[in-house]
Amino acid sequence: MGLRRGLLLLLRRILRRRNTKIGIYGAPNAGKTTLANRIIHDFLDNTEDIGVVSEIPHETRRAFRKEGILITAKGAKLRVDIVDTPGLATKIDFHDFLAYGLSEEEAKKRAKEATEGVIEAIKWLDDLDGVLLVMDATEDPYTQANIVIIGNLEARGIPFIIVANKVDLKNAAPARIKNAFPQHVVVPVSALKGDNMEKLYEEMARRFR
Amino acid sequence: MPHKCTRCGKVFEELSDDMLKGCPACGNKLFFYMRSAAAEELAGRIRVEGIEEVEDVGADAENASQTMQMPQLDIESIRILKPGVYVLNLEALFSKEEIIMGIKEDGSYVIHLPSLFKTKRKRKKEK
Repeated sequence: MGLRRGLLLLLRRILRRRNTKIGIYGAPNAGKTTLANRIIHDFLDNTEDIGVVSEIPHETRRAFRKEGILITAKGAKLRVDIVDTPGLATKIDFHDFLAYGLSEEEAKKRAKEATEGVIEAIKWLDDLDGVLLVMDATEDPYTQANIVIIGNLEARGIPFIIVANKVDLKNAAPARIKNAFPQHVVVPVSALKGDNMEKLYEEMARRFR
Repeated sequence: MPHKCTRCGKVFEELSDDMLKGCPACGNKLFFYMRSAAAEELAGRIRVEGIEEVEDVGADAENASQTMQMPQLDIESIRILKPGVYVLNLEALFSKEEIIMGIKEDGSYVIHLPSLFKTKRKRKKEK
């Protein structure tokens, strides 16, 4: 599987027939849509958003794709399609949404759609050339969701970058993420404030070309 | 990146070529990678105090006991505990195309046939 995928990636690079397809993955509320919006604002359109950002978990319940974004970093160029995916979770409970003022009916609908969203996110993985795995730097990174997705990305041979997001917050500890996954590339950013995004773009141009 | 000898416990703050030949103190060639001080402290407490006592040490233990309450997933990709409460088996969702749903905790299962047939068609095509 890994070898076959590697050959396909190599062929695509040689033929340059299409854009590099990058998926944004991570747990709910890690900042995936904020990151996708930031990339679009920086390189495509400052007024356009790929999705709505909300403090209520599972705001993104369908995968959204934005095509033809030309990322430039220190002279390197990379034309990508960005796919913002729903958050990966091991348990989705409508009770968690009630605290945000949703009615029981709305909360149950949200939980159902969020569960469908997890399946959709996983299906997209077969069609991607690279992944930005977003983690909330204020949270413990050693979760089942993070471990399962990293294991699968490794097994499928999909290149990925761990984005330690929300470093603008006081209790952010990106070093904890680096310690948890020392064998992988970790780039600390604040997608909301735009901090250290240049470094992320450089890394994307290097790893996903 | 600190490392610790698994035999004598000597701590090495930096990796060095000498470590490739073994621990300078005892010759052992296995080393732990040491994580943050907080994680180390928690690991130490688990070893010293035992699991029953660790359950009382605060938020970490509370999270752990909540995890224990999650139903053990087996063949199913998703377990529907009640309307609006779902437990997802991410490993199964990643590794299998077919979707098997577990209903509540009474051993009932629903097999989503379209996903199963799709997998078989795909396999046939690959042949």
